[in-house]
Amino acid sequence: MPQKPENKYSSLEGSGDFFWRVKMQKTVIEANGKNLQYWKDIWRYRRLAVNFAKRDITVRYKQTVIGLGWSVISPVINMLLLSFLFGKVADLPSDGTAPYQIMVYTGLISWNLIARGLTVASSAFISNADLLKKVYFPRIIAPVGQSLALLVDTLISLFVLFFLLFLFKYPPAYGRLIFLPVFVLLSLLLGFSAGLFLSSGNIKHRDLNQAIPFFLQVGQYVTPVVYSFAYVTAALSKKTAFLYMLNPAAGVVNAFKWCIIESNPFHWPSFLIALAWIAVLLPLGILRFRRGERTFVDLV
Amino acid sequence: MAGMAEKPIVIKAENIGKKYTLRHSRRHAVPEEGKKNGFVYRLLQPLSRQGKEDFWALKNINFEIKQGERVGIIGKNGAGKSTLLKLLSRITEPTQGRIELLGKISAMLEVGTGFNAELTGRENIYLNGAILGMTKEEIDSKFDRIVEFSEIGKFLDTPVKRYSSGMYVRLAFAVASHLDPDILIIDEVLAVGDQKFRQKCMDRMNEIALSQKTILCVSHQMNVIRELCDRVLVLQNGKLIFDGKTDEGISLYLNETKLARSEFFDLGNLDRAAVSSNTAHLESFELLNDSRRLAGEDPVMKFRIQWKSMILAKGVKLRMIIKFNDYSPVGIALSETLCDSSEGETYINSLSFDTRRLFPGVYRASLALYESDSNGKSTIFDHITDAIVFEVPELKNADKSVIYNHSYWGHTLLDNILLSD
Repeated sequence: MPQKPENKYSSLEGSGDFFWRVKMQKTVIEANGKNLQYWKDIWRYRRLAVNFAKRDITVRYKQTVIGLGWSVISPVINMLLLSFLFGKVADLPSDGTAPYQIMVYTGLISWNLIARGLTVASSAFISNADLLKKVYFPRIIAPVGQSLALLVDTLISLFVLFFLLFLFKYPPAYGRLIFLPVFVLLSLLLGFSAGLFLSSGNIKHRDLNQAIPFFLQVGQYVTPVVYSFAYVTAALSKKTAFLYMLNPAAGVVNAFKWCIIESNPFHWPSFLIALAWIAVLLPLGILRFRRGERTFVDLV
Repeated sequence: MAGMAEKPIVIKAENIGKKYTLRHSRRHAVPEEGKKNGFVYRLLQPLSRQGKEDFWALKNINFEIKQGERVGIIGKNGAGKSTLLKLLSRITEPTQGRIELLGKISAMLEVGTGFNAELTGRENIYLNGAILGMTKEEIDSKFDRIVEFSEIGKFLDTPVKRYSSGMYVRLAFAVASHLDPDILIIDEVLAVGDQKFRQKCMDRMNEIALSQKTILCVSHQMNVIRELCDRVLVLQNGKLIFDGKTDEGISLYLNETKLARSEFFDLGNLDRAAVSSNTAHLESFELLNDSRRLAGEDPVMKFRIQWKSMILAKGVKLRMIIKFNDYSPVGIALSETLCDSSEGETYINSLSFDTRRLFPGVYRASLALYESDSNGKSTIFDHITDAIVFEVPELKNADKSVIYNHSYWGHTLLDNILLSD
């Protein structure tokens, strides 16, 4: 085969080899084996998550006329409608002195993060199937990236919230604002963990895909989004109130509201229940997700 | 060249296998259980009544690949080629065995994976690069080369949904081919774009091959394998049946695809493109090669065709569209006028064709029967794609110094260059 390209670097081989051996990383793939490099791999691919987030944000606003305006308009209209129904028509009390609109809008920010985090994580395999079937990267990077994009939306919503606070001349709880990032992340983490837990159940049978939107719709009303936590728990019997607090979203959303609204006292029991849920759901969710990522390529 | 023998092993596959479980829904298979096919039945027993069957897409595969080797993987559809690439590129896990990989791996299993139609060319370069495992700095440093290679020029900041399909694949290939892995895995992605760009891709691949990279490549195009690879793995029904030199592997594979070499070809019932069905019809093709030709003494192939005419036709001719056995085109041979035909008659013609300009090897030919008049008007009566297979033997008095390198030289030997005084 005289025409084959000769390896013109072969004379450098001796010296090249040495460095080559040093920097090569070794990957071992074993049947049904544990992946020892799992966390290292995720760290190595962290920038890909940022890239996915950028993609999501760019694409979402690229083809719209008012761009980012949509992430302002839709929750504001939603808030006005819900405040009218629950605050005016049903005449429910707000959290202490806070305007009803402010309370609803604050609750919606937290709830939307939970709901959308859950949606993103639970549909991670299905919505990214084309990509995951052709390229390797730690699969969790895809929903993590999509969740990062949700944080950008939340940031915009927070700006709107502060504008509303100014508009209603209602001063936020300044001393507590420092905790806001914590509660933003907790909201996302709760939704994300629950989503991860559901993700692998979503591969073979798509029933969950149908059930999740319905479940979230119901969830919004058993969570103190459009009404006051203190008012509802006081109105319920002791036993029912406890059942109500078992909903982890209740504790998280109420704590989020505490962060903004001075007259909303912190409710430890519900918050601790929520933390316990996250502490259980996150590791379980990751385990279930990892089990899903091992087989889903062969099933989807 | 002292270090040649010590090249490190970069891919080591030990006894790997991949099992799929096929689930058959029995609901359609058992019609007499009509009542049980209903919605209520499904609701009550959503997961039952499914048949399971294990299927090993790959089994007991062992091989080692050293740094800098360029290995082709060939086999029929369903032989397990893509599954093997998916295991090596970590997209799916093996059911048994162990794989050790040394170095950074990139796989091009599809051109344009992760491209987003709404994003511009520039944005997609960064996104796709990141998906394929490049860092931002790496992409920055290669950005100009990628853009230049892709030839998209002023469309760089246009959303890729407005690209022509050619521009799209060029850009996608440009990004993928500027990855800088130690091991590059390619699945049939070189067949993109027009001829000129395809050549550019091949050149780029050869360039990568020169720089100590290990390349693994799946392709159905044997000329690509021949040009790129110095070793092939042949898979058959999930098993590795050959591991060795490219040429040997390819001929094994091509024989495996049951190249029906025979003397008599019954053409009557073969599929043909729907060309004027009630005109004339080829019925058979028979090779009449005598022992002198088989011994490599006579380059002339003799054959006989039988055909039936349903119409009156003037100046009926035969043409043979010749391909090499890997389906790469060779050329066309036209017959003299066979005869004028009349309705309902069967004709038999004995013909001869000089094959001395074809390199030795196995060829296929499509046959077409047509009519052409002196004004240049022609009508095709019958056309059968890849109807026959024939072998060109090596001539006894051939110039033995010539190695028939089909992928570089094509398949024909033109007339000798003569000295003139």
